[in-house]
Amino acid sequence: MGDERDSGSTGALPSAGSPPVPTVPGPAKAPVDLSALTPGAVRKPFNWAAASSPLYLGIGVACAVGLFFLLGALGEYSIPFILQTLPQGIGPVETSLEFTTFTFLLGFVGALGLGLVRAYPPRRDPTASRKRLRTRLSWLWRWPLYGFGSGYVAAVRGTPFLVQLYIVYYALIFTAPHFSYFGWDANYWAGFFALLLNTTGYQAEAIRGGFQSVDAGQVEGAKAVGMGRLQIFARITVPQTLRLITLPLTNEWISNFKTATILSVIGVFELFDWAHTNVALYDARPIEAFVMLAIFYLLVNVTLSRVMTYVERVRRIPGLGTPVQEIGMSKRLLGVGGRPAPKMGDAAPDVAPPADNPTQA
Amino acid sequence: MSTIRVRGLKKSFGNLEVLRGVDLDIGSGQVLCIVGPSGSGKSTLLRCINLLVMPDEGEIYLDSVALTNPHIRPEWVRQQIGMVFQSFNLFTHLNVKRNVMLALRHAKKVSRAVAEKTAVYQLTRVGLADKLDAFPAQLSGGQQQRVAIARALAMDPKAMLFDEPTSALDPESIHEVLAVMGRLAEEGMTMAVVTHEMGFAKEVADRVVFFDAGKILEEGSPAEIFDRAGHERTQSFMKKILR
Repeated sequence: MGDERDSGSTGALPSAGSPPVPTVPGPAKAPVDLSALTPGAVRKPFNWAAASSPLYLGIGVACAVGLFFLLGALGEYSIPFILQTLPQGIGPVETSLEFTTFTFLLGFVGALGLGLVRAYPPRRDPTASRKRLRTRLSWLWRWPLYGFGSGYVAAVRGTPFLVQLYIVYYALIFTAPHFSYFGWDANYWAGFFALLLNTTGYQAEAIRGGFQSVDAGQVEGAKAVGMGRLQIFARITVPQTLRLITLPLTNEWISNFKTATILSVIGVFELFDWAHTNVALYDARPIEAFVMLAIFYLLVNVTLSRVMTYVERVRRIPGLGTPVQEIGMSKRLLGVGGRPAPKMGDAAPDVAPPADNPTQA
Repeated sequence: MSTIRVRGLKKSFGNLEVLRGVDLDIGSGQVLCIVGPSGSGKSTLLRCINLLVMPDEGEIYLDSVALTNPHIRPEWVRQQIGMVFQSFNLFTHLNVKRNVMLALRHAKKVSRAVAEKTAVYQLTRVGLADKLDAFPAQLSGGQQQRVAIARALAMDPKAMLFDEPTSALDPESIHEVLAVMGRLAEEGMTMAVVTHEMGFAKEVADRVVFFDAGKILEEGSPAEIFDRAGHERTQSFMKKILR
């Protein structure tokens, strides 16, 4: 949502055209000399930049819905057709969700290991001679592992998914053309494996970032009470990492969901393929098809990200990560109702502002 | 309680020589204060003693055990020698009671019931019996540091290391932490304390060492070091901090 603070005028106060202090009728209000303050010290009367993000979400949703109906009224596309055809997309959206979620969960397991390998690169230890043989020889397996992990992540992040998909697809088709399990044919499995390899690489990076952002003092504190490396990893690093990477992983799920559209090129009948083949080509309604597609994706992604933000807030532990705004569920989902978003001045309620606080004038 | 002996300790980080041959003895139940300018290697010395940092050369003995022997498990060493940090290093995601219980449960393999009892006992001793369910971030600095002390004591250590335990605290909190440490000293704990709290050092310490540039420059009773320092370097340092 960008910068919440008023980064606006750096010009001198008082601003031209308005008196420095609104003269409030009534006793005991000593006028404050605003010109004595540094420029930028006083908040402007209404600060759009400081308004709550749900307000903007509400405005954005209203605009989008308005535009949707306006374009329908103008005859760009047929709204009745969309409402009538939308239910047909439920099967394909389920296929898309299956691909996304199964590859995501399976990829998470692999990414935990890969992220771990990448988070702690092996280093030369000058005191190795004072340590056990196993520690002294650990470079033998740690360097190759680190090299493999880094190479894998670089390969996944450095090539387009379309290219990865075709490589996996043809590799599988040529080696095992009859690869068919659980009612899925070879092209479905190729799509599954390609998506799995892809999301593993991206999740590994998110998890690596999580591991590395666990404060070194936490590990040191655990070491100092005599916990072993595995114990520290399981009891300190992992629990803290999981809380730190909730939102990056949500991002990756959404990204994975959107990437799954590309599976349509190898004949996987998922959401995009349905809209493209069945609606755009067969029904000859291309605009309706892709507007529907957008509706499906928005519905899933916006809901998920809002829910995850809420989950992160209620599961938050004091002192871990950055605090988020205190907003109720209805306000977070719909942008209306609930408690009002706190104003910036309320940030420290235990410190009473001085009676003649110029910013409150 | 145990004695700690340090012999010829050396440690470099890259080209930077942090410890340049340190010999040190802490007798059973003695309190040793380590003072000196920042960057002189005081913290590294403490970290070497419980093997958070592996020294390059030299030996450390706890009673008669050579801790630097590769066959000694560092985890065992750290269970014998408790440590308290300047920045507390409490586990952010656990409440106060579970902070104290964690190492008991998983490093010492004590049953949950016993761990809980020990945690409540140690937290009561440092005056935090009413904060068992609070998270570290909800406590004041002084309270957090007392939790950290309780966490270290729960492991039943034979000696304790304090690395500037009051440097991050406000004056009121400093007092409550020093009171806990003073009581610990009275009970006969072997302690090594890196500190700039001269009042505490004068009152509680048996011996004070002045550390400079990776070496012990001077060593003696608190009165000798603070008031009648032999070295010019010690004198000028004391003048600055006692002002």
